[in-house]
Amino acid sequence: MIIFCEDCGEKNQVTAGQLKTGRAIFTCRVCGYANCFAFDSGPTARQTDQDLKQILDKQIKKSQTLLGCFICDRRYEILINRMPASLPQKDVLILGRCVCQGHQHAAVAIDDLSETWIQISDKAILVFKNSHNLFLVLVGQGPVFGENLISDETRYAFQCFTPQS
Amino acid sequence: MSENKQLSDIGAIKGIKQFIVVDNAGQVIKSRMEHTEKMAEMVFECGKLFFSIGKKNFTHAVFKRTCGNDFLIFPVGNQYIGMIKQKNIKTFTLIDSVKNFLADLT
Repeated sequence: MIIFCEDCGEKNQVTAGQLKTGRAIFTCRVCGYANCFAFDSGPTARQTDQDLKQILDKQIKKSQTLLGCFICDRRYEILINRMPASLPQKDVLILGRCVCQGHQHAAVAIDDLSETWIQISDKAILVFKNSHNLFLVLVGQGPVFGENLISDETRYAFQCFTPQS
Repeated sequence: MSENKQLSDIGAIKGIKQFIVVDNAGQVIKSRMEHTEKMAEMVFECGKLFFSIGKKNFTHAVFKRTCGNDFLIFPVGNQYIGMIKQKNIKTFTLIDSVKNFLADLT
């Protein structure tokens, strides 16, 4: 799986063995920094809806910049919505369709696309897709860069997430 | 158009490897990019989608790539610029450079 260096933010491919102890232990391939950090709740190989909702809620609560997030499927239907209650569901749906379709269009032309950042005024939107064709969309406030919106724990949990139904 | 002539100088910005300019009908205005047709379509479709959410508040989009040559899109008037970043430059540094360049155009 891909883990980001704590020091320089570069992506590093790590093996399951490097995560077994509940900590990510690896030397960054770019800057050489010796990373050793814990995943708070030790995500398991398969995340359920409930597990992921808890992790997302924790991240939103802890983050200074994250307004909310949601997950949609390949038809752009919302599976998990953790956006502020003041935002109507139909607006979340429209946002999801636009940003996920954009990510999909880009993926056709860019074969090594990993994530999409979109800056709209002072809002940063980050889009990921996992191997189950699900999209995680995070919306941050302030002129932040996408990579600061999501923790390694949330990234990992989403990669492992498959819907229950 | 003088704006296009100036916009075409964007390739001189440090950190830009390739670039393409398309209009809001998907026509290529200028290209210094490989696979022009495919990339023009992507820039146009993505630019249009993101513009539909933010309108004039849409400032840029970054497509992160594992190889480090991130792809960026900026709206400029009724056109979109797509560019491939060189590996050796930070994405936010290039974003700032492009924003400064575009601010000088207007």
